[in-house]
Amino acid sequence: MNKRLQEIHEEACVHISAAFTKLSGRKTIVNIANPKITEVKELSPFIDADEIVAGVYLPVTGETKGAALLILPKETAFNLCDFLLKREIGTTQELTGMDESALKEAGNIFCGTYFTTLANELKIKIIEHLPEFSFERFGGILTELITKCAAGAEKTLVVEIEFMFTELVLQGYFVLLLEKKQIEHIIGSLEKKEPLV
Amino acid sequence: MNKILISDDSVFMRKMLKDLLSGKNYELVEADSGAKTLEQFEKERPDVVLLDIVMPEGEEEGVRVLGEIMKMNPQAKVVMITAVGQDAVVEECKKLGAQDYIVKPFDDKEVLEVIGKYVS
Repeated sequence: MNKRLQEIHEEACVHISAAFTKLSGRKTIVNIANPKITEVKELSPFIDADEIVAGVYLPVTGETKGAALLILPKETAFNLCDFLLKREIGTTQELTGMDESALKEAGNIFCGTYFTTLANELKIKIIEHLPEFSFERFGGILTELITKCAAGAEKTLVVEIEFMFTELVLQGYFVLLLEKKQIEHIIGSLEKKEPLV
Repeated sequence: MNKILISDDSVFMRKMLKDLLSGKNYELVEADSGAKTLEQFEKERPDVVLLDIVMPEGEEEGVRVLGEIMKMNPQAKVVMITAVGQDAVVEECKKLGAQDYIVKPFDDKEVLEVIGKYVS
């Protein structure tokens, strides 16, 4: 893996882990792994289009323009709700307004912390906008993403995420969407000699 | 008993703050938008306002609401609720009259200490 990108991810994980420990009241370790650059329309192999997922989408502008998307498969979303709302694991069987709010806030914090780490490392200004939450088929989220990205964010950086709690390990995906020239600039500015993967 | 207005569009964040502040001898009122915040501020006359920067009306609606609150009562005690990376907006809020700020996700001890500075 690109060494500097790995360092950025490690630093982001430290801050995100601390944030989720505060949010859940439980020791939480967040890991980011297996980064891949892919086209937006090629995200489908990562998750089945008919799988129900929770998605938190955070658009950004400033010195870079794009968005981040946190994708939590249904089981992960339900278990995360239990942790965030301090309920027994397995309690959540469908999402209430409170659950959606908790997931949206958690996703906003995850994506925002990642962007802050990236911005500090690259010394660029990133402005976060209003996050959006959805809970539906991944295919639906992907279609909307492709539409939103039609203006230019063709390339994405996809990583796998693990939320490690004492009782459970939860898995999801984080997708960074930027304009092609931006993502190439970011990856290029990190370490020209090392390939991403 | 001191009254605290919790202004945040996230029902989850309002719950986190209510859970933290319940049982601490505060009367708690809530608002979930900029417009509701101003309505509650006028009606309830809180001793402290915890005011989120991002509201349904816009990413910096909290800044606008802060300005309106300070016009209504220049002595108002407003603590901004911010996210990581909002340093520039926090500075703007302080210039407008905000007393302090707390960062999401909250550190319980820090929140209680900050509020404690502004209640009688």
